[in-house]
Parts: sequence; structure tokens; C-alpha cells
Amino acid sequence: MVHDSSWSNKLFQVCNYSFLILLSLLCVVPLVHVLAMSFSSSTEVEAGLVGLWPVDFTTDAYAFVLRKSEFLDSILVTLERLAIGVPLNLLLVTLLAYPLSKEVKVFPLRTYFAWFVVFTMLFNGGLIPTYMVVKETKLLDSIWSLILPGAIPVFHVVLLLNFFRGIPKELEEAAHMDGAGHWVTLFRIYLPLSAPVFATIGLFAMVGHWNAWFDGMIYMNHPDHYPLQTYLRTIIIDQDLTVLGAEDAIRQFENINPRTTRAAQVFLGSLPVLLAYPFLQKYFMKGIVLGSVKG
Amino acid sequence: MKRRNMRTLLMASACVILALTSACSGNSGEAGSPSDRTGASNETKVPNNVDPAGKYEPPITVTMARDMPDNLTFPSGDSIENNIFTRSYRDELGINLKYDWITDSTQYNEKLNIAITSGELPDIFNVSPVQLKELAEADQLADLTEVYEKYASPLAAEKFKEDGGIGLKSATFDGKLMALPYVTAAIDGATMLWVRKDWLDNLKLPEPKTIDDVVEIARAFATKDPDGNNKNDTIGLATGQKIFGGGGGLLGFFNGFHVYPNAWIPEGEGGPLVNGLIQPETKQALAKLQEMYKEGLIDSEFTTKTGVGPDVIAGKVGMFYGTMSNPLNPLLQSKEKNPKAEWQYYPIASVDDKPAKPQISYTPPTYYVVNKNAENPEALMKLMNFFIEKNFGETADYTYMYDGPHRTHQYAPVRNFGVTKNVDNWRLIKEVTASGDVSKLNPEQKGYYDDIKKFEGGDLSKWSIADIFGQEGSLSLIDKYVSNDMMLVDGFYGLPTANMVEKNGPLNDMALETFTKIILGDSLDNFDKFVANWNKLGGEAITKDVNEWAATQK
Amino acid sequence: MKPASGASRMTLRPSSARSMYAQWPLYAMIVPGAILLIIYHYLPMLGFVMAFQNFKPTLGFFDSKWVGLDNFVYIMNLPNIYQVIWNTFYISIMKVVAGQVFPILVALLLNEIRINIVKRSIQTLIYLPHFLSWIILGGILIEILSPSRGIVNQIIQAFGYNPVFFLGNADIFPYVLVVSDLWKEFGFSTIVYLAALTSINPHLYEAAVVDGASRMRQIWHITLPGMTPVIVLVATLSLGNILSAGFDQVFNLYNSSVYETGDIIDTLVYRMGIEQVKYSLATAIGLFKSVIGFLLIAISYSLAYRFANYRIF
Repeated sequence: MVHDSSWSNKLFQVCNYSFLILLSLLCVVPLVHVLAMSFSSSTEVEAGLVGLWPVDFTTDAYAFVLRKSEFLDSILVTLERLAIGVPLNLLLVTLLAYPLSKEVKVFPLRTYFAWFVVFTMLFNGGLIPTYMVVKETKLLDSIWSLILPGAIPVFHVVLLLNFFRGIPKELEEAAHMDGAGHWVTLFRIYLPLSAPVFATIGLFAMVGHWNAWFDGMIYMNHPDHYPLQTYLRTIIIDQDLTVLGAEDAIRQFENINPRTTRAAQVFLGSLPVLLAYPFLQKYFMKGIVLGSVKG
Repeated sequence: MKRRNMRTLLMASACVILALTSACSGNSGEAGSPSDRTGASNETKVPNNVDPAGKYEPPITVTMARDMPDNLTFPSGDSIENNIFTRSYRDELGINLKYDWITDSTQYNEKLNIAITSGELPDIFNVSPVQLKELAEADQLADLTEVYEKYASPLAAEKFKEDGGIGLKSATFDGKLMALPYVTAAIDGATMLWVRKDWLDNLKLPEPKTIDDVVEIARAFATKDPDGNNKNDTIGLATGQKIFGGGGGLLGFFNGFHVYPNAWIPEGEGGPLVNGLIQPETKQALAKLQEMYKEGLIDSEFTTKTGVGPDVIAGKVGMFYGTMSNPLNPLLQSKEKNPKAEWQYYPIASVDDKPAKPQISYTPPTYYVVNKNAENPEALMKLMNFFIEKNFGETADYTYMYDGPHRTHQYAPVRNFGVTKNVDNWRLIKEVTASGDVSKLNPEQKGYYDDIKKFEGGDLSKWSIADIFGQEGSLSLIDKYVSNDMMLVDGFYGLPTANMVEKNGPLNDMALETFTKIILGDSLDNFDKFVANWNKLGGEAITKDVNEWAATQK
Repeated sequence: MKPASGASRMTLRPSSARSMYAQWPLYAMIVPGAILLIIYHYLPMLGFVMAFQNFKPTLGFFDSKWVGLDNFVYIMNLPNIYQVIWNTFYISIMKVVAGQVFPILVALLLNEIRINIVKRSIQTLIYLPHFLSWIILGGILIEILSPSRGIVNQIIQAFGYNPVFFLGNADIFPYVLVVSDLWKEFGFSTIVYLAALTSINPHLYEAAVVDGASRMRQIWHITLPGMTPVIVLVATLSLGNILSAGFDQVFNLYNSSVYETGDIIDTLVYRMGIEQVKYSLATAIGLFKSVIGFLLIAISYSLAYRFANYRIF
């Protein structure tokens, strides 16, 4: 894009940089605070005396989270979930979005199907009926119970169909002239042009799978089948001291403080984004260079 | 390519580690099918010898559901499905335990409701009072009357009577016992007033004997810079937003006015039961709290605080209503932060010359039930006998209670501790401290005894145990409450009535909002409106239910 | 409102499309998704019957008692229900508006950043608050907004004003909800809008520069119109959640002294804790919220189609 070196533009640039940097600091500071908490002793954390730097440095919280054998189990479950779930999400979303992005003239039923899809985003049958279906389809206690019921994130479908509509029709028609059908058009023309939106929904799908915990809790019958976030939930629940039985009131606090552990959990939770997002970002930078495709 | 290698490596190393800890249960694959549960149990249709501790020959399989206690740890190689209890059940009772499903405590209710809906109940499971009622009414539970009579060991029967038989009564429908109650140490929940003794001494204040003393002390703590840091940063009386809570709430304060929110008490001698929430004295307690709040004697931000712990640890709090277990949390942390902090408990102060009674409730929080279709309903009683014997009987073995840092007693799916365990421990430790005959102590008690000795020898980390189980420990107050009959027991201990289930939520909500706002400065007259509304919106109906229930208990 | 971006300039030759080649792949593509949706979404919707029953797990779907509209009547008779519905609307409308405008602004500003590393870092950082759960944030906000020792009030006092009890003052509380929610989630929408930005045909900008258009004019005439479909889409879909003003957030921040303005439908129902009819009630509430959301979306959809000849999805 073209640079404008006027004085007013420079002023704008300075303000813009300052504003955005300030904004991102505002987003990072609490996270740094949480990180500091996760490395501080529980007494200091409980007293609310931890700022942006650990007080009384300790790695106890992480040691506690990592020490159980279920931790490794749960990482493997989550990795499996990501490996199957994210590609399946992307595939199913693409297959739905392409036909729905067509105009009524091309695909007369598209609007009915679009509402059919969006409807599921608005209405859901609730926990018990969904559980019954998952049970009847024999998914209980298997990795597929974490993947199939949520295999179609509707928001991603409509987002993608919206992007697909922005792709110039000429490209498609040119391809059709050359004898390409819908499958070829989708995979040869649409997909290469949709890198930014795929990066976006891929990221969201990844984050979604990584951080989901409730389905693991409900559909898995044994703790060694829990995905990571479900496992983390099970070890850091706030105790309501008033309802503790006598036997537990005594030894409860030798273990670990929920606040430091939960802080450690935040880190493990945001890890994939901290690691993967920078790589995905190059797809946000490019923009579509139509010229080269047009040829 | 690299990424794949990484993953293989991770998998491989994980498997090695898991193999070492043997948590890598090879049978996890077929765990999802509950259908293979019967197996051996079909053959043992004949009731065994009626021996409470008798072994099943051939062994039977019992299916259960389990809520996984939080923060549970296991000795190397053990798991919730394979541990000291499951092995002993198998070897000593001939019972193979199989969990249909396991989930953490927050989702247990949800999963159980799902299981109930889909009609896939395990043989033995635990239920909430409401679930017990619904299951019993839907005739889905086994009648345990005979089982209890025939199989309860003498020791177990004793434990079930520690609450005066309230638990068993509450589980009895039309004369039939439908569940075993989880009898818990309700008396340990009695409130006491924790005060910074060093501040009291700094400011030369008397002990808090009356509510006026409490107000006086709170005023001095809030205004006279008791910590001597020249800052106006101390809280007189701390509370969290749950003002009806016993620990870190204001329940003890209300009790000081002989007001018992949400407990059912006879109106006059032997009169009908009424709810303590709407008694006229409650208004006086609220007036006093409002006055204190206005003057800045109560934490001005209590509405946003979930508890008093953080401020206590940070050294800002002079006084709060708590329980006997507070030395473990947050007082120990408070002492770690500031070794000079001296915390002393006092009986809750009274508004007049009558001693104040902390309120407690013996209503069991959960019940153990047996599926109507289970082959061996008596297995529940046997598991119960076993737990009680191994923890409290002649053959007691401490490894069934604790194994190093591991809370082994939590591995048992069926448990009961009785009401007086902690006070009993305290009494015995006191006796032994005087006599020196440590052989009388069981390993648990010996552990506390040793900790107290270590504390006396200068190990400050044992302060909390010493401050609970020591001669002057917080349990001494519980003992005093018990021996002098200074506790008010909730007069209602039945299962929730239909009206309660439906109306209690809105009523409690209204109470919390009205009371909080009055403390913050709303007109006291709102209390009268509240009483009228409370009655109108279901309170009256509930009162009627409670008294009808009471009539059946006479 | 015109259909997206560069495509709108180009002439379409629709007649060719249908005749040119087979349409069956379009149906084939829909099949797998449709099957999954039917099984895991439409089938469980049979559970809506619970909204009209006094559902008890012990009795199941077939034997639970039919109560007609009793559950809805119950909800409408809850104390302060109309105030609570209004609170829910008010809070969530503000959230929807703020949650649209601010991310668009940030995306536009971010697009002006030339130094790639800065741009990328900012992009990653603003997404991070999304990962803090409300239970953690609740704790942090209570600390930093405390009138006696919170950092925010220390700053306010440094300017000579009186401290503000943000979480204890019913007049301010809803705005605390909106701002903290915006802060937590704006990074999420910003990413969506950045993706929309990068999909705009660069040739359009080149042409504009040749015509001597300023940056502002380019943003006004090219960037914003290019983003419009996505903006409209996201705004419309967020109407679907209009009666869910964020349970986790409110639950972790509110207290009984701000119920007047801060209590929302979900928190109210949660507090009622009606174990006996929990499932029926939850279903009834869910159905109620969904129907309202559905109506709003349907209205927006048909308005957009009638007046702009544009299908939002």
C-alpha cells in the first residue's frame, strides 16, 4: 500500500502506535499477573500480595498439576482430539459452506439449508437429550464423543460462506469453461484464495478443542479418558468449607491452593495460541493476490 | 516429519511412565459397557451366611458410580479402581468392585440424573436428599430394613446412632429403611469467634463476652490502629457476602441474638416449629449490624468478598466468626505471613445474660442407596461395616485412613465417620497427655499427638494441629459446647418437602438480598415487609409441611 | 448494502451456471454435515418436551407429568422477573454494540501498522485475555476495583476524585460488565475482521490511489464496504444470544447489592436452584431465549433481503 509522508500522517502513525501498544499492554498485564501468581507461594497469593512479579518463588503449582499420571493421559487425549477434530471441523465446514455460498439461481435449496444450519446454533435440546443420543450412537467413553457432536461449528460455516461469496465469479466460470466441476472449483480455486479465513477458523477450532472440558466430564466414564482441560478441572475445584466432612476439614490444606493452581491452568490453556498463532499470522498478512490467479 | 517424531516420542515416553506407575489400565477399552456387570453375581442368589463380615464364596461383582474427591492422590501404582480398599473388598469380603462411571464431585449429580433418566443405575450409589425422595417414591430402591437389622455390625450400629438416629429416621419411608445416611460431624460446624489476641492486648481490651463487647472491640480494631502501622487499614469485624454462612459469615452473630436463620425451632416451649429467619429478634440483630456497618466497624466491601481468608492472611482482620478448623485455613497462613499474629477463639458472644448457642443441623448431606434390581443389597452394609471396622474397630489399621500424604479413606466408596470423631480424638489426646500412656492412641490420634509435641518443641508448622487438637485447642470449645448442651439443633431433619424444593431457592434469595441491603443502610422496616413476603411466597406452606412432618416424628 | 467486495463490480453471467454443469455435487457436499446435524442437534431437540413437563429423571420423558405452560408461568412469576429481563436486554445490547464497534476500529488501526513484527505481536497479545476464565478475572477485578486499595481507585484519587465502588454500586455495575467483557473478548472479533480486511482485493486500493483518494477515503469507500458483509453477519448472529448476557461473568462479579441492575435471567434462575424441576425449567428458559433470538435474526435477515436484496447467510 502506498505511503503518505505528510505531517498529519506522521502524527496519526505516532498516535496509532501508542494507542495499540497501550491497548496490548492492557491485555497482557493481567496475564502477567496470573503468571506471577502461578509461580508464587500460596500464602502470598491468598493475601493478595502478588503483583506482576512472583513473590516467594515456587513451582509447586505446576508440579502439582503435572505430577499425576492422568496428566500425560489427558495430554494424549487432547492431542488426539486436536488431530482428528480440527481437520474434521475444517472439512465439514468447508463442505457445508461451499454449496451454501451459491446463489439461489445456482442452488435453489440453499436458503432452506442455510436456515437448517443456523437453526442448530440457536436451539439446542439440552444436556440430557444430547447425552442420550451420544449414548445411543455408542460414542460414550470414546474420543468420538468429543468430536462428532460438535463437529460443525455453525458460526464458522456462515463465516466461511460469507468469504466464499466474495470470491469473484469470473474465476469460477473460467474454470467451468475448462470443464471443472464443483469439487475441482472448491479445492483448486476457493481454498487457495481463502487462507486468511481458514487460518481464522482453524485457530478458533483449535482453541475450542483445546479448552473444552464439559463434554469430557459428561461423556467420559473414566478419568483416564479425560482430555487435558477436564483433567485440570478435576484437580482444582474450590472447596466450600462449610460442607466439608470432618475427615476432610483436617487435611485439606496441606495440598494446594486453588488460586495458584488455577493460574497455572490458564497458562496451559493459552499455550497453543501462544505457540501456534504467530505461525498462522502470515496468512493474515498477505491478502489475496488475485492477479496471479487471473493469469 | 520432525513433528511426527516428536509425537511418537511423547507417546512412547508417556507409555513408559504409565507402565511404571501401572495406571495404564489395559482394560480401559471395554470400560464403557455396563452390561457385563452381572457375571458372577448371578450364581450367588442364595443369601450368604448372615455374618456382617462374612466373605462371599464365590466372589460377587458389585457395580457402583463414584464421585471422585478433589485433590485425591494415590500411592504409586494405585488408582481409584485399584487401591487398598478395592483389594481388601476382594480378598476379605469376596466383593469385586466395578465402577460404571467415575466423575468429579461437581458433575456427579448431573451424571447421576442422566443415569437415572436412562435407567442405567449401578447396584450401589450415593444420592442427594431430593434424589433419595424421588427414587424412593418411584420405587427404584431396595428396602434395606432387613439388611440393616441382620447385617449391621454392632460398631456400625453405634456410629449410626451418634446423631441420635436422626440420619436413619430421615431415610425411613413408611417404616421402611431405604438408604444408609452419611453421618457426618455436624458438631464440628458450630461457630466460634476468632479474635486477634495480640491486638486485644495492644489496646488493653477485655475478652468478648457480650455483643456489646464485640462492638466495642470492633470499634477499637477499626479505629485505633491495632497493628501500629499508622494507617487506617484494619477491619473490625470481617465477613464475606454469604452472611448466613457459619465460617466467615455472620451466622454466629445472629445466633448471639438467639436468632437461628433457616433453622426450625419450637415457638415457646413445645410449640409449633417456626423458621428462625423471621423471628422478631432478627430485626434487632439487623439493626445492630446496620449500626456497625454505618460506623465502619464491618468490612465496607464485604458484599464483593467471597470469604474472609485473604484479608485475614494479609493481617487486616481483627475478628471473624469461624469454626474449629480455621487454624488450618486461613490462620496458619496468617501466622506464616506474620508470626506475631495471635489468634484466639471465644464462644460466640451473647446479646444478654443467656449464653448464645451456635446452630447446627444433623440432616445428612448424602445417602447411600441400593438399586432395587441389585442381586446383593446386603453388600452395601458389608462395605459399610468394613469401613467402620478398619477405621474405628478392634482391627483398625491406619493405612485405611491415611497412607503418608494420601487420604486413603477417600478411596472407599462407602464411608461413615460418625458425629464425634474429632472431639473423641481430642478427649483421648488430652487424657493421654495427662497420663503419658500413648499406647491408647490409634495411629491417627498418635499423629496429632506427635505434632502437638513437635509444636511444643518449637516446630511452628505444627501450630495448626496443636491449635485444634491441643489441650487448649479449638476442639476444647466444641467439647464444651457438647458437654454443656450449648448447641441448637435444627428441629427439622426430614427430607425436603415438595414446597421446600420449589420455594426455598426464591425465599433464601430474598432473605440474602433483604438482609444485605438492610445492613448496607436500607430501612429496617423492610424486614417487616420481608416477613410478610416470606410467608406469602411459600414460607407459610413450608412451615405447615414442617409441622406436619414433626407430628409424624412424635 | 451490497454483496461483498470486488465481486460486486464484475458482471455476472448467471444463466451459464446452471446449465453448464451438474449440481449434484452441491447436494453431496451437504450430506455429511446434514446427517451430523440431524443426529446430534435435531434429534436432541425432541427434549423440548421437557419444557412442558414436570420432568423427573426417575420418570423419564414418557412418564413425567405434563404441565402445559406451567414452567413458563413459573418463570414469569419469579420475583423481579421483568426488571431482570430488562437488565439482560440492556446489558447484552450494550455488549453487542461495543463488541462490534471497538474490534472494527482496532482492526482498521492495526491495518495501518507497517512494521510487521509489531503488528503480529499486538495481534497475539490482544487475543490473550480470552483465555482467562471469569472465575480468575472475577478475583482480579475485585482486587483492582476495590475502593480502598484497588489500583484503579488509587488513580482516580490521584486526580482528586472520590473512590468509586464499581462492583457495589448498582448504577455503575452494568457498565463494568460491558467494559470488562469487551476487554476480554474484543481480540476474538478483531481477528475475524482482520481476516475480512485481508480478503479485500488489493487492486481496488491501487486504483483508488491512482484516482488520488486519501487514506480516509480509501477506508470509507473500499475497506468498510468490503467488511460490511462480515460485520452484518456477526452483528446479526449476536442477536441470537440477546437474552444470554454472560452467565459466567455476571455470576463471578455480582452480589446481592447490585441485583437491581446486574441480575440477568440466567443468574436469577441459577439462584432459584430448583432441583426438582431443574431440567424442565432450564429447557423452558432456553426455549424462550432461543425463540426471541431466532425472531430477531429472522427479522434482520428478511429486512436485509427485502431492502438491500442481500442474504446475510
